Amino acid sequence: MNKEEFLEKLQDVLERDEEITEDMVLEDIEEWDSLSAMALMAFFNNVLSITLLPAEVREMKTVADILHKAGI
Amino acid sequence: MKQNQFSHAVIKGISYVIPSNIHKTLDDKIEYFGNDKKKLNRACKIIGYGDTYISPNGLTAVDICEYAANDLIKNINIDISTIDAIIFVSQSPDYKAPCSAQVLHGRLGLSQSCIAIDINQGCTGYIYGLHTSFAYIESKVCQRVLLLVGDNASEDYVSSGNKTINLLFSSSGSATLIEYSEECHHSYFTIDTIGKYYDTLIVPAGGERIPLKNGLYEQIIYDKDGNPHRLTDAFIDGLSTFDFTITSVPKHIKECIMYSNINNIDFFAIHQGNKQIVKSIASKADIDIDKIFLDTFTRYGNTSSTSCLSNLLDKYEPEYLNNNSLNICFVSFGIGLSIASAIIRLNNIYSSGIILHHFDNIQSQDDAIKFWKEKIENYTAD
Repeated sequence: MNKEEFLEKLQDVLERDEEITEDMVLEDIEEWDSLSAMALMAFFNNVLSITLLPAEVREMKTVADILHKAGI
Repeated sequence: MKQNQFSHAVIKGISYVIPSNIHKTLDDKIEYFGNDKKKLNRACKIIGYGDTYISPNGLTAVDICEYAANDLIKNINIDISTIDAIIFVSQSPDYKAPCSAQVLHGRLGLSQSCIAIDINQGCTGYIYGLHTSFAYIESKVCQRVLLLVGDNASEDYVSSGNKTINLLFSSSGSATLIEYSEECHHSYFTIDTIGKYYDTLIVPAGGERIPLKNGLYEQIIYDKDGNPHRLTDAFIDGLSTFDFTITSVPKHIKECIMYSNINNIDFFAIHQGNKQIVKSIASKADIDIDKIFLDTFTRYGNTSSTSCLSNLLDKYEPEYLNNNSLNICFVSFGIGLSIASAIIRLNNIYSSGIILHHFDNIQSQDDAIKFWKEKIENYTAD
């Protein structure tokens, strides 16, 4: 999965209508809440087979942090 | 990981009841999303929120289980004097003491030579109940066990306005009859206990550690998201629970299947924590999508101890279970923390399906208090 594909997928995971870009701060994304944290953990675990812990999600500040964890 | 195999215990029938008195639809839940339809729809898509059923003031899991037991006894037509154990599994008993199995024993008119015990288990309650029942039968301690499993999501419970619990839970009560069979019928149980995480899902107050005094019930504590909590409510560390579930449960399921050596499981009846959890578990455990059923959480909510059972009965019509023989893998996980699974062959069992029943003539909590006040005031040892 390349960066563009991942960001598009992330938009689906967060159930967000507007585009997501690498430089976005998670706190500024309206849909970033405990539900999206759960959806993100499920996505990492099920689709990417990467374990993502709740503590790691809480430490993430930007979309770039998510990309980094995904190894993209 | 504890694993047990049994050979002579069989399920004869199952009745399942949800009280229909207070039905909360998805639209009723919009207040928890700031009355924003878009936010509600988004949460619904991710988690699967839908209908839930709450017990009105005065109705308890014991009442619902009694109704289920009567339906079962009537429909499988057995002589109740032959029931030699009644097991009640719940985390919402009627009294601190005596145990609710004894209360139900009296209400159902069972024999004096019938064992009555409660088991305090939550999400894995149904499988724990089956495990104990099957062990009683296999060891010939008992011939016929009436297993009653249920939990109460009461009006009191939801009154705090906490969306982490109010959106999820429904009340239910079930009755299952298990009996001895001379013929060999194998069943396989796997149970994991991870007690060090006991505080991940907990009702902190109401026991001896934090008794109900000093106005504890009226004290509201707010979490960082602004959700109100009482110490008498269930506290759920949602993300940690989710993490535990998607990392540990799929491994557990694979171990349970390997232990049984059964390759043709017809259906996985999975605890309906929420839709996302069920989907994630099935995907990580490599379960075919046609062997799970994802709609039950949305249709009936999380019914706690009986939630894997609601999934089974929601998937199959009563006639189908009555006319067929199926290999079912029950899977549950949650409070404890605990994971339990059982692979059981269901041979032409009686099923009530999911009965939505409106309960009438409920004794209110005020009337119950009045009853005990009068009883004690009129009591004299002389």
